[in-house]
Amino acid sequence: MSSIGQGYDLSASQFSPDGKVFQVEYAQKAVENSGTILALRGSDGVVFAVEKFVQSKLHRQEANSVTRLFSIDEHIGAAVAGILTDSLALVEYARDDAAEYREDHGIPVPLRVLANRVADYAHAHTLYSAIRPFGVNMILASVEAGIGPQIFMIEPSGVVYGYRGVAAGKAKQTAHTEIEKLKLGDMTCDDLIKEASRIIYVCHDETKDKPFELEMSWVRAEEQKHLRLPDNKLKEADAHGKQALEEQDSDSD
Amino acid sequence: MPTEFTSLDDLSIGLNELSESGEKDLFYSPVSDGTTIIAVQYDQGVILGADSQTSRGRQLVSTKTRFKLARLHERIFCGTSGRCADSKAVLEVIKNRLHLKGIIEDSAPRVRVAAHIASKLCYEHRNNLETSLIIGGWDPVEGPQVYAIPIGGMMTQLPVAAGGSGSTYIYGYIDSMYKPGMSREECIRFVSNCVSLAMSRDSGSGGVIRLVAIDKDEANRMVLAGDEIPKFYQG
Repeated sequence: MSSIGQGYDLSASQFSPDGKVFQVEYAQKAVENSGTILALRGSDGVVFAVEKFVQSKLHRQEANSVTRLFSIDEHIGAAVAGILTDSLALVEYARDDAAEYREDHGIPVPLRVLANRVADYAHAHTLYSAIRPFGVNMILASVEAGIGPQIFMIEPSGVVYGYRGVAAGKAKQTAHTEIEKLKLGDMTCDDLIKEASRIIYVCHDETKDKPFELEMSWVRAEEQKHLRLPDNKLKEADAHGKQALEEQDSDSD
Repeated sequence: MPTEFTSLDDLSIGLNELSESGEKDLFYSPVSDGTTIIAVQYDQGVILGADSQTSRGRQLVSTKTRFKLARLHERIFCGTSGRCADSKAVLEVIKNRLHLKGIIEDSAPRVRVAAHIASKLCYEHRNNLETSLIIGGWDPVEGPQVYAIPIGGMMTQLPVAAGGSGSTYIYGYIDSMYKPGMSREECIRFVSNCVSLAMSRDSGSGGVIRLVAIDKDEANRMVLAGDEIPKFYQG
């Protein structure tokens, strides 16, 4: 992935001779430098987990002060990886769009529709030299009546796919390997929060990365709302993750 | 003075007589639906009914067989009353938006959404529009639904809704005869009776009875004409 731009990488309005838009590729690199995020789709909902690096011990503890998990509408949750301020801009766009849809149509925006519209917006930023692409991977998830739980992920190029489980950020490869081992369809959210936490802990690189805090949320069929994990559940998941890490460490001695 | 107009060509003869007698009602009235529209929801679907007469003023029946139950989408129909031009304009906008929405979102539009779009339009242009709608349909998310959107644009969901000038004559009948849990056949009979009773008392309603029966599988259009129209006490 270390191809030199050779002058074709100066603006998003140019292709390189071998058919790449380098600005988009560089945006993807920005995402790869960020903490890992993942989402898992179970039988009764979707679970989000985020490896939130603690930039400074002086930051306030409450989740809202620095967070990578957002509600786009009541029923849609988002996790972001990449440049945080780019993420905030994209989240704001998604929120405005979801609210406008509600106003125009009288119903909450279906997830697939929102994902496509946000993807179009991200894609629009890959066409011009005056603006740069978003350095963001955004995972969107919801549970909808008649459809069930769904996950979509939007990449800097504007591409959007649906997933049963997906990860982005530093350790996405390792995370994907772990996710593929799971029988997601058979697991409930209560099971998945433990798995999600375990994967985040296992993927975290103690030697290279800053210390991190586990951030988690879910959207379940029960509430049909995107909610942060209740304290007791978060503690439970966190403990499970720590324990899994210890077991792995002791295994490899 | 001629009291019957058999074609619009006759109007030129009629005009002088009318203006002499001071009755300008005919010529200066926009085409409007003195109308009866009604929709009722049952377990699996919705039955909509309407008369078929449009008038100018209350003297000229300008159309005897108008379609007042417009198709908004495969399983969503709309009965209109009020000024015809306003009804048509609003229907076109809703139809186009639903059509595009269905394609972009790759799924059947919901009846609630159709009603919301209609209600928003009617409210935003409430100073210029004079149209009252009843939207009935079926969608996979909420099943059968009926929404009433009277003049002004308020939207309410109801199990049975009636509108138009003829509806005022049948509220008693509706109140006494409607009960929840009716079958499809009972609903069709109920709707036909309602329209028939309204037509015989309201000078603005008449012609044939148009029905649309909507459920998961089909939207079936029917007509009751002449002898098929239910008969009641004629006085």
